[in-house]
Amino acid sequence: MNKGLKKLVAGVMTVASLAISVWGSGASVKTIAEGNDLIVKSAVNTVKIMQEEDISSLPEASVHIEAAKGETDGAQIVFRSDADILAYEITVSDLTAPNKKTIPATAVVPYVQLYTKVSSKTSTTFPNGYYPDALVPFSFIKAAKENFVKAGNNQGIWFDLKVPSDADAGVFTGTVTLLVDGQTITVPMTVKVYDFNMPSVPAVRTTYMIWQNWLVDGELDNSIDKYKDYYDTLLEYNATGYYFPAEIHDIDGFIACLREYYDKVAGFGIPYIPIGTSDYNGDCLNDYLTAILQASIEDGKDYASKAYYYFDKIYDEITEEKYGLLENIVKKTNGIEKAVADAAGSAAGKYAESIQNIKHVIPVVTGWQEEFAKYDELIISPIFDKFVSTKDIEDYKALIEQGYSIESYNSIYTWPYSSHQINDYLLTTRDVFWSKYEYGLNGDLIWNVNGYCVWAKPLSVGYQRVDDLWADNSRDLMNAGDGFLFYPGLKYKSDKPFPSLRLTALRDGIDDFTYLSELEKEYEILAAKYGVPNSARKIVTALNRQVFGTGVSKLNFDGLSDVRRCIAKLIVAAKTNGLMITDLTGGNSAVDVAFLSNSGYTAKINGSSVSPVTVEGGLSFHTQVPYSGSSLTLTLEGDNGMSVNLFTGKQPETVYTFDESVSSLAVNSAYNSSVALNTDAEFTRGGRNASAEVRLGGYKFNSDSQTFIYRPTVSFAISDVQNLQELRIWIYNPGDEIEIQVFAQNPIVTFTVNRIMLPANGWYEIIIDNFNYISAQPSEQQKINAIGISIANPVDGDEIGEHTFYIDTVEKVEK
Amino acid sequence: MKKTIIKIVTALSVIPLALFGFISCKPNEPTKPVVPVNGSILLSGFESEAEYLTMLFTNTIVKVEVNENKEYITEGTASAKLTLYGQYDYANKYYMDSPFYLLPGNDFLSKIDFKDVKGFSVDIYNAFTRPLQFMLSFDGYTIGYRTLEKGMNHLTFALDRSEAAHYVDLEFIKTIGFLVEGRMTDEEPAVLYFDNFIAQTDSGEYDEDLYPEIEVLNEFTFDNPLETKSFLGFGLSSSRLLEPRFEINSDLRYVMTGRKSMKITFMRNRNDTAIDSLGFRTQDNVFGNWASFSDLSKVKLSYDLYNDTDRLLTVSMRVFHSPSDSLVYSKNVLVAPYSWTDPGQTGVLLSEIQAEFGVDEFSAFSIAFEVTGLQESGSCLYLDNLKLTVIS
Repeated sequence: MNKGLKKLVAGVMTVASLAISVWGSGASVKTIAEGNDLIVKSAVNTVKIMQEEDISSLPEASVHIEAAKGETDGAQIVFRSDADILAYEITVSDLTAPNKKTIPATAVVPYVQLYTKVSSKTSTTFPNGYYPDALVPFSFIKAAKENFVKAGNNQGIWFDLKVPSDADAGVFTGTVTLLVDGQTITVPMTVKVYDFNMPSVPAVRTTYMIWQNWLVDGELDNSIDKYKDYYDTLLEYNATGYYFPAEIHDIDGFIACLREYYDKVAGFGIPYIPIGTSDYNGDCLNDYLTAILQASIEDGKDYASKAYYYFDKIYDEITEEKYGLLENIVKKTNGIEKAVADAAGSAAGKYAESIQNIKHVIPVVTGWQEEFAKYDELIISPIFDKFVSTKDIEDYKALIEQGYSIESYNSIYTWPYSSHQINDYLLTTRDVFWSKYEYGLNGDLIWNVNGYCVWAKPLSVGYQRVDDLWADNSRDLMNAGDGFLFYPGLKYKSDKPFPSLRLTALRDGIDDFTYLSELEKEYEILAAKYGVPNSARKIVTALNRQVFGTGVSKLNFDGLSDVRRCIAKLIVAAKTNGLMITDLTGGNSAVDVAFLSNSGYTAKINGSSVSPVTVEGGLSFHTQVPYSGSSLTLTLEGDNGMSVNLFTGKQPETVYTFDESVSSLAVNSAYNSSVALNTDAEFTRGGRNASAEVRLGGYKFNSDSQTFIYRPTVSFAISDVQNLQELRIWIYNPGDEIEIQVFAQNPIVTFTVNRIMLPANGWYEIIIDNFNYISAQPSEQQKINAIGISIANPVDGDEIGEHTFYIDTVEKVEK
Repeated sequence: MKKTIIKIVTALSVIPLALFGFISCKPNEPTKPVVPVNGSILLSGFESEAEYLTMLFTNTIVKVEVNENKEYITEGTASAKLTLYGQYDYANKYYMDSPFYLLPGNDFLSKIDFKDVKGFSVDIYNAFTRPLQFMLSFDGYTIGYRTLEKGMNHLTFALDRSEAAHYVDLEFIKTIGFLVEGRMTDEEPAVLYFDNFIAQTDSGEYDEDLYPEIEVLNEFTFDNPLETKSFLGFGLSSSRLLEPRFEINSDLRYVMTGRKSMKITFMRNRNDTAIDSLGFRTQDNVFGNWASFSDLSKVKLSYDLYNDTDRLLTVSMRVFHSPSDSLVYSKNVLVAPYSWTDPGQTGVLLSEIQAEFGVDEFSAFSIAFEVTGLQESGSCLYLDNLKLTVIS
């Protein structure tokens, strides 16, 4: 560039900067062109990078995505400068594999993360400040001339890649080019495509409600066409609105949608016309069911198998007062279903049966109620804080085994529960789906994705307007982000709404759930081939210990992708190599590993060969492997050989044994409890000489309330739990089944971290893996100085009892 | 050479003008402050999407667009094109009338005090296939009905402030309602263009003779916590402990004006069969001696009540005479779930109460509220602005 031209550019830039610097107030403006540093970093896709946080310690920028064919996944970079950035551009190249096959650049959409201020502190865990939330495609930001960044602010860019369903498996590389005020930064991009296709239907059924009337508050349009824009966009995020984009009681429109969407959705709701708050229009339901049945007969598709009811205007939350209402509605619905099935006659066959098996989704803050036991028509959806203890989780698993349908929903709860709030972890919005899978909860419910009004402030004719839909994020005047996952497209002249980071995390969580489900499907095939039980859920439970503790996320921001990669590789290996892991159990000093594969492979674990045994359908391998870090590497050598890291956690370390002394255990001896050395082999685990016999005695106080509150305890000292993946206690209960509580104490507060129903007459391994439940902050966890077990005060009237346990060892597993 | 330099300088000068000068004129900027011009105040020019977003369209199905076709514009550079699909009433099998509302007190319509307004005008182009009925209102009070003929309609409405002040608080108008007749089931959505909504004032001059003056005589706004002590349960109760409980509420979701209201929580009876006491009332003689008012036809008793339940409630306001404590007046209003009472429905002139009583000497002993429809223990209502106002 010649000197004269340089001057002109500088002059124009100066004028432009004065013009665009809307935040400036007379201070001199520094620009990138003047040589100010530009920092470009990357972050994993499970974190939110706030607008003003220090990003210097983040890794150098790269965009890395791993996904199945047909899957959409994301990655992010963030950049900042001490100078005002007057304009930036983002371009993405085609992605090329070594075999020259390409994924076109158009498969990648760069989104600009927009920040929203959270100023009303709703959680002690998260600071106030500017959080990224809305994701607007860069093309819209550029068209709106908003592609600038204030000096000192971070600007996050999110990249979504939809892998073509016909892409080759393998690694593709390309570049992202960031042009910032004339300075070009090239960021490497790699995409690993797994060798399996993402199913077109997500494995988890979602009911994410689009409130049609409220669309006008953000879009100035609440017609059914606008509803369709939202329905279709939700579908791109693997989620479904309650009803198809057809007017209520537009039966022809509904059936057209049914045929259009059936192969894309995990479920669809049947629209209804409420009559007041206690009934619905039966004729309308009759019309829908009749049409569905007729379409099934015509098309040979069991449409009703994906149908469900959610009579939200009638019984959104069932309480005792609504039991009669529930009974009436279920009875009425069953009657209509039967009438429709009967009217169709024998031609309807199995489709008529499906019509009569459509279930009702019932969200319940209170959790399971005995009243529900008499219905098999319900899908009970407790709020997610009902799955925070071993007892709760096992109780719900038992209900599922009995044939009841259970799912869960999240609400305005924030950490330690998964939420969809803006000032909350991005990870927990996603990894809750790992626990949903493990607990058997095959559904998710969100009450509203388009709350574009201040519903906390009712007017006589509606609700208060939101001054700025992009800045005002608390529509209930309490929480940030509740009730909306979209931003209206209106501002940027987009027909479709824009997603939030939170919706993206939900999508990824749904995808994770589908991965786990795909593994289970593959293992179902292999289980039949090898004549063994399907071990998928057992293996997922073992791997899930890296992701989710009892009722709470392990906040494994980086590790989630490692475990996900492991699942993906296991899916591919199941398809390609017939690999089926059947055991992955960590012992004291070694890990039991068992697996099956097709014939013709040799297997190694951590480089050491494992001898096979020929079995029906292939080869069987079983070995005990010493711990090696927190994972072991399984390799199959042969045609299309593979290698996968299986996560085991680190080797347990003994914290306490009770071979010679029980002095490390404390009980309240003043109130009839005691602890003594036990040498009776019946109550000693193999390999140990003795255990601790703990007698927890009842005590009757002068005050009944004190007697009621008192819980006898046994506890031991502990330190540095912030570094623990797990703490394990072996306990023998020689009496009847009994509920215990596990607690953690700091010098001031006692936290109940688990409730467990101890089985009678056997050893039980208590695993404490949810220290995050106490606090997400390691500094708070570090204050924990004791762990213990308590039972209800064994006093019955004037009868004072006691309960005896035997405790063998206490072990810890470091992170 | 000189010409070239001038061109460059001019070009550079345009940049900041383009970015600053024009910004202040763009239609998305609020049209404030509101200054009467020849007695006219532009309440809405229907100029921009940003302005439409301050309006409330939620109660119908509609698409709202900025129209820049001059044929449908009478003021400014745009009008609002409304494609009114309407909300279908499944029970009655027709499309309901389509309402939408301007909500005074926002950046585009800052005027909330309408004491000085003697009339309104609005231009509506009816592009539908036939004439449509139309109504203008505020806070539930009907200002007037008109027929929207096909094509452009320049509508004017006179406001009878003396009458209106009996039903609404002209100093604090919360909603201005536009109601359009619903289409028939075999008709396409109606397309209408709205523009140039103007309030005609008294030329900006304050003339006491032209409009009523409102004086608040006595009121409960609950800014003072002690005001809850002026209330107690009303009606039969199985236990004093199960009567309604009163507390000050500062959650703005349940405040109509100001920063506080009163929360009333209802309890189940001892047999757990129903709500124990369904009513509450003011302590004796809280509103003083009404006989001192010279003209009861100028005094209005009104209140705002929020229904924080999922049930449709009927609230009966009852006035008892002092000192005989006999019931002399009762007025029922319906309150939708999670809604405030309609301001146009809750007010009553003391002259009407007196007429029910039948004699001249009248004074209120207590104002009571009885609620029908409550079922769940812990159901809550919120009371705000129980007040007496004088309209002179």
